This record gives sequence, structure tokens and C-alpha cells, in this order.
Amino acid sequence: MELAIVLLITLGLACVMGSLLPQENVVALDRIQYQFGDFYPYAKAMGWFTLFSSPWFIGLEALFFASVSLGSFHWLKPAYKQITQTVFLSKPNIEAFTKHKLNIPIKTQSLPHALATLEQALGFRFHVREISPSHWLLSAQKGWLGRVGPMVVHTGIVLLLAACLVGAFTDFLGQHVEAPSQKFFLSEAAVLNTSTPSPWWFGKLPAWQVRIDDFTMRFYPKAPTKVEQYETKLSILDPATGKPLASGALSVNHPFHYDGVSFYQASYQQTSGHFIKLNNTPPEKLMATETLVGRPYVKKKVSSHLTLWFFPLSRLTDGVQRNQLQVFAQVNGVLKGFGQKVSLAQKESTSLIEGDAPTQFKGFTLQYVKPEIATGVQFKGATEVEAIYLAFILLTIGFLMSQIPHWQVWGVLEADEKNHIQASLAWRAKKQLPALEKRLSQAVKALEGLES
Amino acid sequence: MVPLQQYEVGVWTALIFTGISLLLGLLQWVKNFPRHGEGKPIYWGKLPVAFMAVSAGQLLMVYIVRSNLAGFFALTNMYESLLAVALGMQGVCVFLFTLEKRYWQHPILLVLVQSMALGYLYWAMSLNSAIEPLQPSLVSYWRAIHVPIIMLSYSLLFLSAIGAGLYLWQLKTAKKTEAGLISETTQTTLDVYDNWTFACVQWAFPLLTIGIALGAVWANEAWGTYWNWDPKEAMALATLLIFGAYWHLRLQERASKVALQWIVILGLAVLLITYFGINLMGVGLHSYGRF
Repeated sequence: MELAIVLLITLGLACVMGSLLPQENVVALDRIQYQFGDFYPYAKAMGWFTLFSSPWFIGLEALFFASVSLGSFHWLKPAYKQITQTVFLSKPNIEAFTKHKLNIPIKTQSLPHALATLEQALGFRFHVREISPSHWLLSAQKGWLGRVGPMVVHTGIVLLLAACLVGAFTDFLGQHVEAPSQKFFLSEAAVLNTSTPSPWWFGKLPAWQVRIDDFTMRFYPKAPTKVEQYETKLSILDPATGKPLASGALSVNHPFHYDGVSFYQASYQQTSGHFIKLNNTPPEKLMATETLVGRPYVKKKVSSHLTLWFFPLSRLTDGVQRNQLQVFAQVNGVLKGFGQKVSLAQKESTSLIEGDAPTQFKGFTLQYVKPEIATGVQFKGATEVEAIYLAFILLTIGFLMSQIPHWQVWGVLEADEKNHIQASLAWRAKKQLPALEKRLSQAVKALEGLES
Repeated sequence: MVPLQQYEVGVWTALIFTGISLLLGLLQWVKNFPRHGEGKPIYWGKLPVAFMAVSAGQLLMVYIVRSNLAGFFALTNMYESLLAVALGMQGVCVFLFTLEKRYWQHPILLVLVQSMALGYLYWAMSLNSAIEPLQPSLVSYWRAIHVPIIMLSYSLLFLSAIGAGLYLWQLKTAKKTEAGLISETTQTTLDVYDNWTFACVQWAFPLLTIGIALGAVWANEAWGTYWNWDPKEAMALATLLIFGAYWHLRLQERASKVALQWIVILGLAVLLITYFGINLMGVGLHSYGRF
């Protein structure tokens, strides 16, 4: 018990340390390296900046697991006995209670009458052991669910920690960015981490292939710059035949599950710039998005007669954001008033080039090619998730049960030679002791009120 | 000038009612105004708690109106979470006062609760109260389950720290006999504060555990891992472990009452980092709680 408490507080303080110190964060580590000065190498060696995976933290976790597991089994048996077996206490045992005990002289000469009065006032049902006709031992408990609750909670904690331990040797987690219509094997993912290094990892990567079918970003109609949802459609392919084994969609908060692997929407990435095709030939890239970053527009002199200005803009169509370029043209020098806000000579007009359709403009054929956006998919193989969910359910049920107060009351009813009955009571309550004592005071009044 | 929104008017009203309740509580404490429960019930002695109940009701209305305007359960940012903590503290305090007559004799409990609630409401009003569209990770029914449970557990833990602080303060300022003993009245007061603290932790600890567990289930759906050692998660676990130590020591009667109160104070320090520190640092996966 003492070790468990020390571990609880130590682990808690270690978590505080790990939360406040930068963890595996290169930028912050640079800063802290400067601040720590000469002490930095020692702090790093002690695992302060990789705290949650440091040997000493894992050691603490292992010790905690062992302590909770062994501790729980240690007290589960006596606690089970306490509920299932009726224990009677003799008068000296009751007298041994330092507090939570009382003696009541009762006027009635009938032990059954005294017992019935006690039961009625307390709302308890007593087990009785008759030592002699004038000497009864009483035992009662109420709220046994409240005593079982902590057992359920501890079982849940042990299950949770055991499941995490299993996961530590079998799980894998990866992330991959891929454009629509492209395929990849999980083993080829850009990031792939197993929960433990190779000799200790007993998991298995699936052999099937993943194909990204589509990726869309949906924006809020009333807030066009805010993304409402990202959605990826994908198919699982048989690597031998290339035929789909399954297909589905995933979005944030809605993962896709197949064959023990879960896919999550993690990120997206624009993998190409905006393109403009001019006169269909050559299909050259006029400029990339990168060129536009931080600039209000980009100017491209196409010929001695034509100059184009390109402005990136966004427009919503049916709630879906479309990336576009607005192209302004200057033919034979007739275009005026440039600045942050462009005003054009009316007669020169403008043209919005959208989608894949070529647009005729001043004798030129312009075609906008939208940028390619790849989806970032995270995938995970975890065998222990169901066990962890079961542990959470046990924790919840156990805690709710623990709220029920468990009360135990022991008593001795003894009649002397003059047939004067003496009731001795002792009680134990971990919770809501005042409520039990209120009932006991009512019982005392009821017993004292009995007529001889 | 931007006109006040309905919910902002609601927060102002709650602030005023909280202020009145605090003032009346102060009068009961400092000037020894009649309190409910001394001899025969004095109904106007209930006024501080009544105003607290009205304030809590007003904050509840703010959530209903704001959620209705937003089109989703409006508990998404620092502004809304501060209102939630104030509402939680006031709601639980009213409940405890209704449940236990002994608390009416200690208006300092109410005074401290209302002071804290007033501070949170005032802070909330200095933040941006505009309703923003939800980012995709927050569009989930788990948000309406996980966040209120965590907020309620935080409220209860703040209340428990008030009880622990009062216990230590009362013990320090109590007159002692030459033998170093305290009077029976002081002991009764200490028992009241200790019971208040335990009553709050008794619910806060399970709620925090369940809230973290539900958050892990949500994280598993949204982020692909049920546990990331994200600063908010690690700090919530730290809070849970510290109060877990208190819980076990209290039930097993393995520590002195004074030591138990100090553990609660340590828990409060950790809770402050968990709730405010990590939010204001804006680090990790829970950074949307910043503003």
C-alpha cells in the first residue's frame, strides 16, 4: 500500500515534469539547450527530454503495474471473504474499537424484541449467533456493492495495464501521404513505427495494398477559410490480382477499419503548384504556387503583345473549396491601375479560368490545371484496443459501485442475572459515516424507549 | 459599438448575482448576520445560496442559448470552459448546502467558492466570446460527453481545495490549550471542512477517471491513438494520480488529516497547470482550449 502511494505521487510528479519540459521537440530543445547551458547534456542523459520513453519512467510504470497487480490480488481475497462470510465479534472485540462503538442499556427483557427494534430503526437485517439464550452475537452489512466496486476498479486497472503491455510488443503505427489514384503497401509508408524495436516486436504487417481513390476538403459555407471536414476514399487491394477487397471512406473522427488495421485522417499536402496551359502547347508550367506565396500577384510576360497577371483566389461551389487562379491580361499595354487592389480597364475585361476546360481569351487558349492534393493517412495496428475499452467499462462500473457506502455493524445482546439487557454495538464505514451514525442514534432512541 | 449578444447579457447577469451572493455571504461571515439553521430556520439566511442558484441557472441558460445559436454543444474554448467551471462550482455548492445543514454554519465556504467563480466569470468576459465554427477534430458526439465530465471534475476539485485550504488555515489560527489541544468547536469545524473536501473528491476522482477514459476512446477515433503523452493528457494523469493517492490514504486512514489536506493542495497546484497552464501555453493536441 505504502509503495503504491509513493509510486502514485512519483509518477504524478514525473508526468508534470514531462508536460512542462519540451519532449522530443527540436525547436524548443534548441532554446532549452541554450537556457540549460552546461547542465543540458546531463539533463538529456537523464532522459528529461524523452521522459515518457526513458528507462527510469518505464521502470516506474513497470513497478506500478507490479504493485497494483500484486496489491490487488493481496486484498481481493480478504475483501471477498468480508462480503461472503459473516463475521461475529465478541464483546471484548467490540470494546477494542477506539471509537465507533456504544453501549445501550435496554429495559425490555426479550432479546428478540430488542433485536427487532434495532433492525427496524437501522434498516438492517442482522445475522444472529446464539451463544446462549441470554447472549446473542449480531452481524450485519449494507451496501456490499460498494465493497465490490473497488475490486472491479482494480481489476480494470490491472487489465488496462496488461493490455498496454501486450500492445507494447505487437502494435504498429504509421503515416503516409499519397495522392488520389496512387497505391502503397503499409510497409512502404513514409513513417512506420513499431511499438518496440525489431527483436522484441511480435506484430505482423498485413500484405494487402491500399489505394487512395479520392480526397476532398469541405469548407464551412459561412466561413470559407475554415475547414469543416477532410475526407479520404480508399480501397484495399489484393496485391496478387489488384482487385479490391474492400473500400470505404474515412474522415476526422470517423476511422476506417479493415483486417485489424484502423485508418485515420491525419493531414493533407499540396503536392504540386497551380498550372496554366497556354495555347495547349507547350503544356508548360507557367508558375508554381510557391512563387505566389507572400506576393499579391505574379506577372508573366508571354509575348511582346501579351502580359498576364496571376492572382490566387478561392471560391466556394456547393460548399467545396476550389483553388483557382484569376488571370488578368494586358494586351498591347492597355491595362492600368495596378496595386494591391487591381482595377482594370473595363474593355479589357477579365477571365476566370476554371477546371479543366480551355478558355478562349484574346485569341489565346488558356487552361487552368488545379493543384494536386494528397491525403495524409495514419494507420494503426493495435490488438489491445478491445481489452482497453473493456477495462474502461470496468473502471466506470466499478467507480459507480464504489459510490454506494458499505456499512458494517456488529453487536452483542446480553442479559444479566436480573434480566437487564445490555446492547453493545460497533460499526465501520468508509463513506457516509454521519448518515450511518444518524441511523444509529435513531436506533439508540428506539432501544432506550422500550418498555420493560 | 457592437451590441451585446443574448448570452453575453446572461453572463453579465450571472456575474451580478454572483456578486450579490458573495456580498451577503461576506456579511454572514464577517458581521455574523443570521444564518440558516441556527435554532429555527431563518429563510432569508438562505439568500446567499439562493442567489448562487440563480447565477448557476443563468449560466445554464447561457449554454442553452449559445448552443442553440452555434448549432452545436457550445463547450469548445477557454471562454466557454471558464463559464462551465463557474457553473459547475456553483451548482455543486448549492447541492452540497442543500444536502448538509452543517455547511450553512460556515459561510466562508460560500464566500471562497463565489470569489473563485467571480474571478472565472470576469476572466471569461475578457476573452473573445464569438462563436467560431468547429474544427474537424471537435465535430464529434464525444465532445459533448468527455468535456462536461472533465469540467465537472475540475469544478469539484477546485471546491475540494477550498475545503483543504480552510482546514489548514483554521488549524493554524485556532487557539490551543497549553497541552496543544484544540477546542471541540474547532474540531467540529475542522471535521466539516474535511468532510467537504472528501465529499468533493469522492465524486471528482471517479469523474476524472471516467472523463480521461472517455477522452482516450475519442482520441482513438480522432487521432488514431488512445494515449499520446500529450501535455494535457499527461497533466490530467498527474492530477488523477495525486488525487488517487489522497483517495486511498483517506479511505484506508493511513495518513493524518493535515497530510491529506496538503496532498489536496498539491493536487490543486497540478490541476492549475493541467487546466490553465497547458491551455495558455497552447501546446500539444489540446491547444484549441487556449482561447
